Formats: sequence, C-alpha cells, structure tokens
Amino acid sequence: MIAVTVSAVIARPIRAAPISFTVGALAFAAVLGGAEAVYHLAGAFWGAACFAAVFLAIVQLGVLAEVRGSSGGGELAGLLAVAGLVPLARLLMVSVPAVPFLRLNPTALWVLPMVMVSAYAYRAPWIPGARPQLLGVPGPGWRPLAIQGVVVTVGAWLGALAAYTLPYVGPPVLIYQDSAKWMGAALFALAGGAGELAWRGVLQPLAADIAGPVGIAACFVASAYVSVAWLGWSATPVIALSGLTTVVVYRTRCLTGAVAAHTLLNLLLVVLR
Amino acid sequence: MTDLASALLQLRALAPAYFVPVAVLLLFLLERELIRAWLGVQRAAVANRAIELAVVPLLFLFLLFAGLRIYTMLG
Repeated sequence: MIAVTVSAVIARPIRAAPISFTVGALAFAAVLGGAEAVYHLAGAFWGAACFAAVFLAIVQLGVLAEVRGSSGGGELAGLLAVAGLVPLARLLMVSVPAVPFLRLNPTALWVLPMVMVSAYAYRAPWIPGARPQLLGVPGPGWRPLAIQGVVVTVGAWLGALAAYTLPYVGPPVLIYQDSAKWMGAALFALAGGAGELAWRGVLQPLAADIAGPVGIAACFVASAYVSVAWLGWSATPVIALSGLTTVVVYRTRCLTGAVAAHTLLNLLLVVLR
Repeated sequence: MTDLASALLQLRALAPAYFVPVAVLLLFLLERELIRAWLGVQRAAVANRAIELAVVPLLFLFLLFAGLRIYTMLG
C-alpha cells in the first residue's frame, strides 16, 4: 500500500525561487493591476487596449528569449508565453462580443478561444515541463482514485453551496425553458475546465520547475485574479477550489479531478441559483 | 423574461472594444512575417512559436466575431 501511495504522489525536488522570478512576477502583477484600474476608470475600450498592450509586451519578451536562445532560454520563453494567457484571458473577457442568446452570461463566448488556447498550450511540445496527466488516474490502487473523487466532491459541494449562499438577483435559473440557458451554463462550466487546464495544467508545472513554491503561489494568485476579475465576489468558492487543486495537481500530477471539479462547480453554481 | 426569438445570436451593436483583439491579431501576423524575413524560415520557426500561441485564440475570436456579424447582416 505504501508503494502504491508513493507511486501516486510524486515528490519532486523544489528549487529555490530566483529573485528575478519574484521581481518579474511582481512587475507583471503591477502592470496587470494598472490595466485593471484603467479598465474600471476609463471603460472597456481602454481597458482592452491596456490588456492588449500587456499581452503584446509579454509575447515579445517570449520571442526575445527564444531568439537569444541562452541556457534556460527555452524554459523562460515557455513561461513567458504561457504567462501571456493571463492578460489574454482578460483581453478576451472585456472585448468579446456580447450575445443576448447566452442569457445567463452574455459575454461567455470568451471561453471558446480560451479553451482552444489552453488545449493548444497543453499539447505544445515546445513548452517545457512535464504536464500533469489530463485523463486517467495516476497509478494503480484505490487511493489515487479516491483523491480525485474527493476533489470532484469538494467541487460539487462548493458549487451547490455557492449557488444557495451567494447573492443573486433575478428569477431562479431553472425556470428558463429555452436552449439559451443550457448554452450559457455549458460555456460557464467549460470556463472552469479551461482554467484548470491553463493554470494548473500548463503554467503551474513550468512555474514550479523554475521557481519552486513561489512559482506555484504565483500561479495560484494568477488564477485567483482571473476568477475575481470575471466573477467578482462569486469567485470565492472558485478560489477555495483552486487552492485545493493547486496542491492536489502538484502532488499527484493528475488534472482529471481538478478539471472535473471546477467544471462541476461552475455548472452547479450557475444552474442551481 | 425577454423574448429571444428575434435576438438569437444577433450582433447588431458594435463596440470599439471588439476591434482591439483584431488589431492585436494583425500586429502579430505582421510581426510573424517580419521575423520570417529577418531570421530566415528555420530560425523564425523557433522564434514564432510564442506568436503562434497568441495567434490561435485571437484568430478564433476574429472568426467568431466575423461569423456572428455576417449572420446578423444576412438574417
């Protein structure tokens, strides 16, 4: 049993965070905070322009790191390219066309390009770092399966709890009888899975390889920021689940439970209100 | 409840913010071509990988935007 447990929980050496990573992460956060302030003060267009500028800048840094090709350049270029998903997510959120059909969340179309880029980054062989397993259970025996099951259960519980406790104005969602409800709910749920794939599946392993616990914490903060920026106070259960999935994905190197839990959380949160 | 029968997938009002990702996409496509011209095809393939990652979602968003707009105009 011990052998099974050890095979399921892969302990990796933790690197000390280089100062440059911490400084870079803080600068990145400051710039994103500035763009967020512009968005709230000057409106969607200028906000989108600022997020676009941050996105452009970080991709340029990634290209520069690739061109210079020094030792560790590939790792740095990969990290920069994947970190660019944070301003990209905000750019998509503020500039995606609002479609009345998606009544529960008219701007939920941003999820589709985000799903696409998350899947692309997860599959991209040039981005270094061993990505966690997306489908399946990491090892034989009941314990890895139980861990994933617990994560999914916590996600469902948080979603149901949030649906009943978070403030919501409007009629109960289940009274809508048209397909718009289900389209909006499906996109909202899909956003959870895409987020786990991007933050826990691609960014976290790379950040952990480069900066150890600081990298993991930075990745968690990035995902929490995107959730808060999108959902506001409703993001509280999402952040709680993100804390759990951060640890579980790092320890088990398996994304199955995290993706399922976050998808379920979002679905129950939006449908049970 | 709003009657959605006349508003299905319609994109009648265009906001300036919708065009920001299109501008970014054009910049990336232009940059990709410039890098190819400066570095040569082989080195550019490596340098352009980060740009490819950025272009994929923006291109998809553009197609979505254009599709919705064309559908609205035709309908």
